[in-house]
Amino acid sequence: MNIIETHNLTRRFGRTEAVHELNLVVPEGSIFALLGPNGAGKSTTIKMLMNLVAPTSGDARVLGVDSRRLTPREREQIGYVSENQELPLWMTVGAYLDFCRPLYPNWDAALEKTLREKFDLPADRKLKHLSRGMLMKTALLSSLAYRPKLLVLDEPFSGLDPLVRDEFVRGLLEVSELGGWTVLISSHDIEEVERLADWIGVMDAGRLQFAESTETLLGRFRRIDVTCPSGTANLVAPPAHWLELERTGDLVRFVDSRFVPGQVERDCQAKYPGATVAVGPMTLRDIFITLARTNRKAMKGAAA
Amino acid sequence: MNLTWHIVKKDIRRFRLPLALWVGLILAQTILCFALFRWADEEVMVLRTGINGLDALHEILWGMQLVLGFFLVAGLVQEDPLVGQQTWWVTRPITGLRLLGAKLIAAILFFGVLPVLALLPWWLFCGYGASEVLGASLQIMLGQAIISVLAFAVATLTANYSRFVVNLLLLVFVWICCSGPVFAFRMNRLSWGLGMTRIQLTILVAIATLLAVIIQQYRTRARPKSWAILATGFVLMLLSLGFAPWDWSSAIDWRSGEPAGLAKVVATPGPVDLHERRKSPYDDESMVTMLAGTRFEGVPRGVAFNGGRASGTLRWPDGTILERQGWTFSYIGPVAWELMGASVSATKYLVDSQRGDLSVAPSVAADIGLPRSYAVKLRERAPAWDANFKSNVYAGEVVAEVPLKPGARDGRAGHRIEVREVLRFKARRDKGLTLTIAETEPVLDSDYLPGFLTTTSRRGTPNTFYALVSKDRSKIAMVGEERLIYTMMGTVGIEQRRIDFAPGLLAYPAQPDWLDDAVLMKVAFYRIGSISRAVHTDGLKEIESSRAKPIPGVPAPAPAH
Repeated sequence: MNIIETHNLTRRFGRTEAVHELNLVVPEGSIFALLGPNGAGKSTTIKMLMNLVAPTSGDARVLGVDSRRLTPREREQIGYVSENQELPLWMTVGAYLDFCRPLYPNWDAALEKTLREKFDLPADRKLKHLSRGMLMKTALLSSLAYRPKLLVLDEPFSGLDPLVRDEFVRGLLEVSELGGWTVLISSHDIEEVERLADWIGVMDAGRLQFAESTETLLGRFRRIDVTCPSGTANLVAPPAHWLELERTGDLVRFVDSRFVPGQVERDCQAKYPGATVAVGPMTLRDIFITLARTNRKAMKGAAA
Repeated sequence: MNLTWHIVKKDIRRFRLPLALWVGLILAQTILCFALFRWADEEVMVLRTGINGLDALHEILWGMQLVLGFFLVAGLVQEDPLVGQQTWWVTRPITGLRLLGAKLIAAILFFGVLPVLALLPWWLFCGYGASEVLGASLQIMLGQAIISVLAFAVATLTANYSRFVVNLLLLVFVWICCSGPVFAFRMNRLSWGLGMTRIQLTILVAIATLLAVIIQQYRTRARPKSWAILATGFVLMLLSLGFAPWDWSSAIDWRSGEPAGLAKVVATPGPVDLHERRKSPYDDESMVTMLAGTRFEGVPRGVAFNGGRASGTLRWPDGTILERQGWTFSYIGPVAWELMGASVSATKYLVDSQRGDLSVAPSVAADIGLPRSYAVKLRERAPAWDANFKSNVYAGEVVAEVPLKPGARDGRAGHRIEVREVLRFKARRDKGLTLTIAETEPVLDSDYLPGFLTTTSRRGTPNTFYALVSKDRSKIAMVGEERLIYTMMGTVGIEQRRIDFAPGLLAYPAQPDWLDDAVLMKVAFYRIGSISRAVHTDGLKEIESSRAKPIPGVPAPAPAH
């Protein structure tokens, strides 16, 4: 079953199309990272899923219900943490949790206690006096203590220093071990997400570039270095799945986005006879940057 | 419901400091009520200065309360805003309608229950019973609600205080700009009923529009739609103000009909009194005033008539016809005073409209403007007179009775009297008796809904009268009164009066024997309906006292036979 499904979800702000006909599926039990540079449309997508923003067209289903008609019953199963969320800053941490508790019939007091200790949150301090990291932890605690079926994190690492960021991720990892939930996390910071996500979706300019499991993604992207015999290196017309093709002297480099072991070597030999082909793995960060650059270049070309 | 209360409690915690200030302002005004009532000084000027100072303080406190109230409403709504893309409550299991319910409960607590509780000691002091407390509470809540609903609606469309203020001022500015021409060109020379109906309808449309905006915002948070509703309502308000053709002033007045027990009342026409119309910028100087009297017989005890309209036709034998309309008025006559057990002999007809003579009623007079040439004609030959007199009907009740001793006090139903000073004079040229009293009176505040409360409330604001009554109730004398100070707070008018017993004017002895044991009686006459009667006479006559008065341009009448 899919926890989230969108169909041609579109949102325009005036003439700007923030999200364009998005078709996204988040499988149940996954930790789905929605990646993309700033302005890619990730936050707008999440706001539409949470019914904070109404779609211009298309629709989204969350927990099987139209996102515009989410009832308290669904809300009791959704946790939402966002970098910009307007929390009641005049409350103390304790008062804030006291306020949240009766809203959720499934509130787990023991889990709340555990998380409060783990996050080291001072009960009597007002939210407005908390550091950004502490504030995010408080928001996370208030969204985890009722064991939601779906946890949505919108840019949770933004503005956090590396230490706090690490603590936050570790906290999330520990919590995720408790299991039983699906996580949708949006970020432009791929390194943090890499440790968490088992599914990746990449958005750029309001469009979903792809969405697949981390395992298959890492499997199909490879950095290829082709060392040609002296004087034979040239930029022959590459197949579409060869990205960021470049030449430095006798070295031709590119990223193969449809890597099949053995196939790339054969293709390189056909184009660069006698060349030496070196195949290297790529990190999610490298894949993400490659795709972003390629996409921008394509858009510039289309615009020109 | 528990969750709703949970949100209400959160809001109370959130606004505990402004709420404390809010309650403090109301309590301060309640204390001022007592201070205004108690304030005393022998010198009238000193008294007035002191009271005016307190009154000014009251105005300042009221202004502060109004401003704080506006911001408190805005804060209450914007605490869980309906505008913005990061609203906390939307992502929690709270529906918009539940949140609206919580906000309404909080608003009723803040702006209804708290002011009522703060004013309760004052009302009890004034002698309010349960029904009066309920009525005054509803009145206070209605006034607060009308102010709050505007702030509430604007707050649902804005995310912070600065936007709230800007939008509010913008709305008021646009309304003034658009309604100004409508008032100037479409509200001129309307009948009172039509003008009042248009204003009331406009206010109702405004309230309905604001409520629609509030509900729409809490249901969908779709601001463009809400602004569209606001704009539509705005246009409807302008149309109501400028073009509504209906006059519902009688329809919404539950007391517009004839009360039971008046079926046997018969009206017979009396003489008329012609005199020069007092010069004023509002009167046409070419007119002569014709006071047309009508005697009403068979009026039950304790009932009085006053105010209304009369229309009539004068017909001369030469075929001249004149149709005129005018206002009717009357004095509280002896029949009405009988409810107090006083027996006063009454003469039969209206005699003099200028003096508070007890002998003139129960007649009703109509003040009708007569063109000067017709006044000449009337003096030459008596015309036939067909008229319809419509008058308001009042029922009186004694609301306070105090002996003429300093410190004496009495009162019920919001009418509380305390005697401050009693001065007796022996010489006939002086007033026989001067009393200074402090008193309270229930008032229907109609600032926000003009005409609504006075026409729709069960009792309305009474006409009050004072009389000196002998201990055995056999003698009664009306007294003149002068209001020294007056202010209105929390549905109660607070005033201090000087009451003069003027024997010279009323032909009583300067110090009648019975004055030693007399009591000051206050009677409140509440409107209970209206009565309409047709009258006819073949020869309309002028009363004797009128004939002696010279009227420029109108020859003196021939001597009566």
